[in-house]
Amino acid sequence: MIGFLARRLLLSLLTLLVAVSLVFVAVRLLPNNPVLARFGQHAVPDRVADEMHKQGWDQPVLVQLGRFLRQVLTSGDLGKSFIRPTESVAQGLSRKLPATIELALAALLVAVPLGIAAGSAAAVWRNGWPDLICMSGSLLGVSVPVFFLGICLMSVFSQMPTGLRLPATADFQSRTGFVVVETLLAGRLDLFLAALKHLCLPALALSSIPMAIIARVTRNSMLQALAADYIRTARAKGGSRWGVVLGHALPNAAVEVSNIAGFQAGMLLSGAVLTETVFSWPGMGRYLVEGVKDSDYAVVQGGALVVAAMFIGLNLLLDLLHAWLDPRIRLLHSSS
Amino acid sequence: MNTSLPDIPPAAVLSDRPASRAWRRFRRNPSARAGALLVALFCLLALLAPWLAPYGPNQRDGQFQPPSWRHWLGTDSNEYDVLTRVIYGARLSLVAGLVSISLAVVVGAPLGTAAGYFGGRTDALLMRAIDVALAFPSILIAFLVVTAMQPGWAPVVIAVALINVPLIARQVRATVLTTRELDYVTASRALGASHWHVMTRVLAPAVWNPLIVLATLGLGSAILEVAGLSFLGFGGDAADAEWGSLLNEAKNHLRTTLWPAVGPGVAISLTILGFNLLGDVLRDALDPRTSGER
Amino acid sequence: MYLRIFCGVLCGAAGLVLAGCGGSAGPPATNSRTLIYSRGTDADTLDPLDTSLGETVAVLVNLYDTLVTYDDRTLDLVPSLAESWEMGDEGRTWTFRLRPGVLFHDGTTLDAEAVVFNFRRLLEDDFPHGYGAQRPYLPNFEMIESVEAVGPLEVRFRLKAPSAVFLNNLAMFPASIVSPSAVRTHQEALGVNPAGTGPFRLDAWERDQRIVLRAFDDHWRGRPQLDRVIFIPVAENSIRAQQLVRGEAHITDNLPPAELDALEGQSGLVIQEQQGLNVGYLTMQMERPPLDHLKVRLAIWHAIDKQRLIDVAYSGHGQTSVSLVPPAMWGHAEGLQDRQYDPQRSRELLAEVAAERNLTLPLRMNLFFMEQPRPYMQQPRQIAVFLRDALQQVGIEVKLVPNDYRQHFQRLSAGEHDLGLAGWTTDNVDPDNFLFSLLDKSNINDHGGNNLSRYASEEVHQLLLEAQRETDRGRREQLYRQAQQRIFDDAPIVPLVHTDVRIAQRAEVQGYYLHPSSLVRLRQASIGSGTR
Repeated sequence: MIGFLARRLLLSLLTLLVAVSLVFVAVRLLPNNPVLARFGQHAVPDRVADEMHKQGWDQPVLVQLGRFLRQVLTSGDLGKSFIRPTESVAQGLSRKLPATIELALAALLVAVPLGIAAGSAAAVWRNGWPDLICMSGSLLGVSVPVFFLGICLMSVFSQMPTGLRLPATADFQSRTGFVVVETLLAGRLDLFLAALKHLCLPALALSSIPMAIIARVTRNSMLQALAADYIRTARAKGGSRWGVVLGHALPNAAVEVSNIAGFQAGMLLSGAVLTETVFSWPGMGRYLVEGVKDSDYAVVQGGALVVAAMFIGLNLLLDLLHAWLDPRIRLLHSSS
Repeated sequence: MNTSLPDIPPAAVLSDRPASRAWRRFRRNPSARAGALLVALFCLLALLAPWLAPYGPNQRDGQFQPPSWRHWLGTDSNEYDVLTRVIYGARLSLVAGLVSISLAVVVGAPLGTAAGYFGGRTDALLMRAIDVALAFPSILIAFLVVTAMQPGWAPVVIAVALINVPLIARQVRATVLTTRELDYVTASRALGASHWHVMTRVLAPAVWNPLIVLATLGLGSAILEVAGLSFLGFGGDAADAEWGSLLNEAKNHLRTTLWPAVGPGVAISLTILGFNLLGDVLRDALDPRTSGER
Repeated sequence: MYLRIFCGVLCGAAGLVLAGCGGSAGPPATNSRTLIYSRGTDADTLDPLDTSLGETVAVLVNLYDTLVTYDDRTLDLVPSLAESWEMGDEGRTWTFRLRPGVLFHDGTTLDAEAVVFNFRRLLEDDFPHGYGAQRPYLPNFEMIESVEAVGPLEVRFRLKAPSAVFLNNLAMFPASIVSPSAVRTHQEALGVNPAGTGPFRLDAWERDQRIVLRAFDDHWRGRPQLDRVIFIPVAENSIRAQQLVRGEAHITDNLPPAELDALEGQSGLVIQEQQGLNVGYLTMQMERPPLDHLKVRLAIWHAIDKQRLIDVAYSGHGQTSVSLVPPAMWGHAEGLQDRQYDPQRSRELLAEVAAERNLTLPLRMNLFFMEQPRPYMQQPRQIAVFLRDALQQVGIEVKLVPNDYRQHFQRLSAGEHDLGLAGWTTDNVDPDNFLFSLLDKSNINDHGGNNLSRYASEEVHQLLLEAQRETDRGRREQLYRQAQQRIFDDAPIVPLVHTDVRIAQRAEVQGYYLHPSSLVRLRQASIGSGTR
């Protein structure tokens, strides 16, 4: 198990390095640079060259990459954005990441319980009306693009606040960026509810695809489980219908759901970029999109590093979780 | 359904007997018919756009006219007829999706075949790369391509192809792995066929069916990804009708005029729905292991 | 679908419940002396020497004062931190007497040394207190040779040559007077710890969330009416408009024209409109054949129905343009008659050129446009598509090339385009700022040169140089008229439009006047009872 873990960890680090290097080179392929990007019509030609030299952007890409990696490894410093001179990349990320995490978690909080409930209902009443509703709903869920869904939600619920995380006048300043959690911890129920309200529509839009997928996966694995011998045995031994479903079939489904969760996390971020754009949500996705559009080297490479690290870490974690949930895999790995 | 079928791996399906069975099952399935109908409808729209569209794609006839008999879906901020733009949009969206998926197959299928066939170190390396690519949020990969190449349709298509390469390669590899040890493959190896011959003549036909299914499924998501990227403003020429960029344009006037968003939004949703319906059924029909249960 | 609707209903119900127990639904109820101003993006820094971003300037003009400024209603220059001034040595020296007893937000007092400190920081490359400020507006101040304190409240500027625009440029935001002690204390962090003499001081800046300004009690003009001003960044136009309707914001700028027209009818909302001091134009890269041929450029000019363009892309809120200088400003070329919209003439011209140069029609060109709205082009995409359709009619196939606006201008100044959308809003209300910046041959270069058409007329160059040195306005006006006639004849650009500037606000906002310069000056604004 330890060996397996170490090997996975090493590979993950290597992956990270490759990913960051690719990002690093890609963002420098454009003829644009941050100085020009920032001052556009007001850029002063001589000073552009000066600044390029001062920042070291006129050096070969590999030299720049080496310096960036050394800097990250020795001091954990992700550099300073040129476009946003009053904020380092680390500060920027520490503000944006929580916004996206909160959005994604809220979406999952909607998607997982509802998805599992719908999937279970569909499995238990197979071919009945719950099944029909659930399955056609989930088909639609994966078919309607998140940006169109967002547009629809905004038009229908035009009275719901959007565009900010708290009302502009709120007498509350978030320290960590986790606004919902913080307002709750501070005992500010009014602001907590306001924060939830602002989160509501984006989270709902983002939850549609995971919810649909989770519902389908749950239904399928429940069907398999319900047909399996041990369920029949449990039923034969006099277990109640729901007792058997909750006690035996559902845990089985949980394994399947956790199985696709890593894949889901990637989809969730992709969806988050679109959702954040539609709802003007100040999160990681828009931060990166703007960084790319501004050729903001520091933001793009720093952001990519953190996102890649998060995803690789998450996948590692999910592998372990999966191994822990599913005894067959646990045995397989401990033997290898 | 599962139990009635002989327990053979999908790749072994070579004779036309299971294929005709699949076709029968396909025809009997109402959601398959609905999916096929939707897909066919949009393909037809794309093919016959100049004849079906009530106006020219760049014909101007007043700004922001609400839906009427003259303009069934109203007109947009460029004075264009929304219905016309949606019909022409089917062309670009479907073609972009088709090209990117084909690209992905062209790159992914050989990779997957090689990995599955040779196994060992090649396989390990390739699977590792695929895991990496799948772990990385696909939108980041797309950003990188578009960043490095400047916005346009070509980078968008390439980006979407890149996103799909690992999915294709993984599926092909799985099929090849199960097929590799079958009698007729080992037999042809024993008869002295070259690696190349085995891969192209013996394995390829076995890989073909599941690949078609995967590509059909992938086509839906590719169209969605193309639309997403152009919605973010990474697409090509603004005057081209494409569903994502139509939506991007429409979102600026959402509060006052909703109809320019409704047409393209519903069109994308229905197309993806069609591909999803079709893909589900195809997958069930061609893959006995997962039939009905996935 | 049912699932979706069900969830929608569920969430909507949840929202209603939340709204119910959340208490105060709209911000106006929480504090009637707080004004919320929403715009497309956040400020980048609050150091006036380190920015060129319009959204930043909106905040800066409320934090800082300049030596001279515009009148509350007009574009006349009036005293601000300087009580009075006089010109000497035939326009080479300017002496300013400062207002006594003016306090900075950090408690220090304004004196001549403070002014000298600020201008040295602006002008000198190796000034020890520069702290990396980029000074993008330095070229506007390069006529200054030296600045010295000649008394505790008296500052003298010496210029390299007489300059007609010097005083105007002192009213620009980069000439804001910052507290020297704040600069020394905060150094690189001045951008988040600004200290000026303006009516408001910075209270809090939560990045990409809000900038909160508080009334400065000791402001030299007296305390402003408002207690707080909150700037919020919201990228999507439709969301900003909706916020205004819901009462979550009081003022919103840069909305699309059609959206403003829709808001105009709504009760509780007011639209303010001003003739803009701007121009939107089509640049034609003259170094790229066949655009080097006058007839091709004229053909393009004749192919564009400017009034129709304004109706489509500006909902009619703008004026057709003949030359760069807008009619709301002095120096506007009044006598100039625009060329008629005449596609037939275009076709003929193109046919002549095709015959002359052995070209095949249709000609193929690219047209660069920016993705984001600019003050002079709120809907660049619509304009680009319109031009594409218009040029297609006369035999030019246009390929549209969208870019982020910053990359857009970078690529235009590198001359990558055939045709390109561009525009300008004046910095200092002087014709020189349009004509010299945008069409003088000294402004052709690959890195930020603003002569995007690469128009290299020696005659125009000489006229513009002479006008810069001349201080008599009548004579300058004459020179600019001559230059504009020449430019019109050579047609290096097609001037398209002078846009009206419009903002939407709630009716309860009183005393806020949309200034012709578009500066967001909130000193006299207040929140009345209004109509709900």
